[in-house]
Amino acid sequence: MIYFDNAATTFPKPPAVVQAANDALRFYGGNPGRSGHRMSMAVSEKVYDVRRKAGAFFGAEPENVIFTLNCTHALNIALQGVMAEGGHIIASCLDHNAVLRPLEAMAQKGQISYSVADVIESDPEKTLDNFACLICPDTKAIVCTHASNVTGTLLPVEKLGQLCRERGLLFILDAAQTAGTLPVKLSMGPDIICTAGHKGLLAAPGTGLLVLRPGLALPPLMQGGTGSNSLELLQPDFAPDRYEPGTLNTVGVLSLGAGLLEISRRGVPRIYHHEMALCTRVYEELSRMPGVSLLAQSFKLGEKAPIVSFNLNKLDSNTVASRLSEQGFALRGGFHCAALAHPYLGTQQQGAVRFSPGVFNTPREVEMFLSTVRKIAQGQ
Amino acid sequence: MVKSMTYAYKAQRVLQQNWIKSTIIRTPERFAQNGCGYSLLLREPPGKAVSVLENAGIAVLRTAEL
Repeated sequence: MIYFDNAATTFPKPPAVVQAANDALRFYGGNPGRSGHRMSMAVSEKVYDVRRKAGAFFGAEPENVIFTLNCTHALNIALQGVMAEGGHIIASCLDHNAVLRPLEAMAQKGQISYSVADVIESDPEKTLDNFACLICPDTKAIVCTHASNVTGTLLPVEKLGQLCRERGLLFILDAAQTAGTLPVKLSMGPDIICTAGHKGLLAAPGTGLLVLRPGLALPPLMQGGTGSNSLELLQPDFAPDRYEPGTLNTVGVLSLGAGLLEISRRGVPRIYHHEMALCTRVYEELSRMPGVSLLAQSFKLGEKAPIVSFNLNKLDSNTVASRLSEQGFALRGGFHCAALAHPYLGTQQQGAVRFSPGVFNTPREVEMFLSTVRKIAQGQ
Repeated sequence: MVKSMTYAYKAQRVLQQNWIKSTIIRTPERFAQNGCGYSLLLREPPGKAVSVLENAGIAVLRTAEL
């Protein structure tokens, strides 16, 4: 199978990531931060090294890197923490349900209110205005995806960060689709970065990160054992322990360390240019193909993450994805957990087929894919 | 004594950069006021190490002689 579903989770994983997960199970079986014996200390040091690497990657101190189950978990800590005392928050129309559902749940309980800003493709200034117009006296934060998981459209993160600083708001960035593919740093403006480990960071599923700017403390989402202050009934007030109750996923964390190393070795700009070159070829060819409609109006470096979504004639997107699967190509059809994006793009009936390449895909695989799409579009 | 395992490793790296050797240990119960914690064991008086750590923004909760 040729895998083009890297926006959902990356595959294959680099050999070093597989090796790190294997080593974690074989040689690092102790519980980190819980005991003083050699096995526990050995894995504790490994976990700290990954925390330090991730901190360097996102421009954060190691203690402000929190390991989570996935990006959704990180976003829930961020959103429920920031909005714990109520208020108003602004999200974008391209956000994932990992952002929108926690907000809707809190809104339905009467705890918060939220507004949704329209993202205007290729017009970051207008997008910025749309956010700015929604700020009201009780607005506490802006949350948005760095890039749409449906169209790849990048949001003006640095400008939104500046807007938040000027207006005294917290800025929560969902970097699930960009970490590992584009630069993502606290210095770009966010106070909180939430991301997945298993996507662009190339780690095992069951990994995510919450990265906090220095000095920012949130109420924890869960309480429990941390291996620190064990005689106190209250959760520790310091990171990362405050947000990491229970035993860590050491297999995932160590795989994340290997993923970060692999990305550093390849270089984020090189990864971005490789994946964008594959997407550009797909976008340009599909735009010439009869019966194909593309969700994005344009596809340019610096404006998009490496994702191209499309439909064939009036075919249901999952039907197309199934046909592609039968021919050996893994792509995702449907609505991509984006409750507002598809209605905004006018694809709430059909969904879309999403092409999302990874670091290991090749131009030859792309040509094979295009040839297959052409045949399906021609009804063959 | 430092806040947690994470701070213990961070502190050890900072001390290493300043040519101060340390070993991370579980804080002996008689010194652990709030329960489980981690400490750095030094083979020299702690004054310089404490100063280095505080300059690096790492809180030293307590020093004690074993």
